[in-house]
Amino acid sequence: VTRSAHQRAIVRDSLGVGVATGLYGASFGALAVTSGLDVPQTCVLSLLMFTGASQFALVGVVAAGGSPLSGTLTALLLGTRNTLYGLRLAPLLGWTGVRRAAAAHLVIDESTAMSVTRETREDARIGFLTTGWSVFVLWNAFTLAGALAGSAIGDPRAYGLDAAVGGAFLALLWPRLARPVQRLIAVAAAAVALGAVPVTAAGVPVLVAGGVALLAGVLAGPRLDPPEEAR
Amino acid sequence: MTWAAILAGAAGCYLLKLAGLSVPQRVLDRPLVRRTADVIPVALLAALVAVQGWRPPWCCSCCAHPSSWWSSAPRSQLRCSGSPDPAIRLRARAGEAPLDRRRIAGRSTPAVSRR
Repeated sequence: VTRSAHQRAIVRDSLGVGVATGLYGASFGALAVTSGLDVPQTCVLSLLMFTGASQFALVGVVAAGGSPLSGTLTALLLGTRNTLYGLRLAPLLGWTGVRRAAAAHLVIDESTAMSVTRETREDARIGFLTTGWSVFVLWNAFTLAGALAGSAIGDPRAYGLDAAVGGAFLALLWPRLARPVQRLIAVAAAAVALGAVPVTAAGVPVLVAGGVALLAGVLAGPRLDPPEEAR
Repeated sequence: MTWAAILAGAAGCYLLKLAGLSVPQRVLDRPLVRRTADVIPVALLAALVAVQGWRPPWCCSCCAHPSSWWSSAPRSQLRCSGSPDPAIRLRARAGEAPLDRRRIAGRSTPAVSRR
């Protein structure tokens, strides 16, 4: 496989995840306006907050009649997982100054997932930017569409796109399960996340899985270090 | 008040993202931080795959998603035209719209927003 074909494949996969994720903006837009936000408020959330779970959380608290401040705090709690992603992304992407400030806005689950597993900085940047930008553009476009159309657009899950996103993530996870300790962490993270799904709001399951990573770093210690320097 | 919550939340979420990207190299070089950072992709991807659900093409997420297996919704209320369970398919054909098990269970958060 040539270098450019390899990078085209990264762009293609990233666009696929970007499109499938961006369409969910319609769900957010529709939910936000039915929860009592107006269209400008809904669109500003997608433009400026731009991290799906936090947006849903804030809207959910407002819809449930909670104080907007507690909605903000919930959104911030969920936003802490993006900080955790930065630990891995910062040395990988290697941006500084204005570029880093701009890139920070695109740090979300999907852009992180499509870049952290890359072998080179160039590949990581391609995956990060392609996924980040395509999600940003479509998420905002479909937020507006969903806010204007209300629930008429319906549930994007009906198109089966969530399965496509899951497939892309699984393809990225698979090569990273070579060692038993990695498989153990993957199983633990998946189990903890699944256990949290029925009892927590959106975004919390992935956040607690980040806690598994922290715990693994503490408990497993040097056993986590690769046998030979892989990067 | 809602505008204040939105703008404060947006600013805070951006600063959390920027903080992660701005952690200095000497902190990243600490063994504990490095090991945690190395494990993050595996934990993140495994959790995302798990909560996205692994849905076979013939079934909707209401019955295939593992998180619904221990949902409190009574099975006798489920209806889904894509279910492998004939009783559930029959209820769907009886003219009722597909219904998500989580929605029956009275959860206010839509299942589409799990990411």
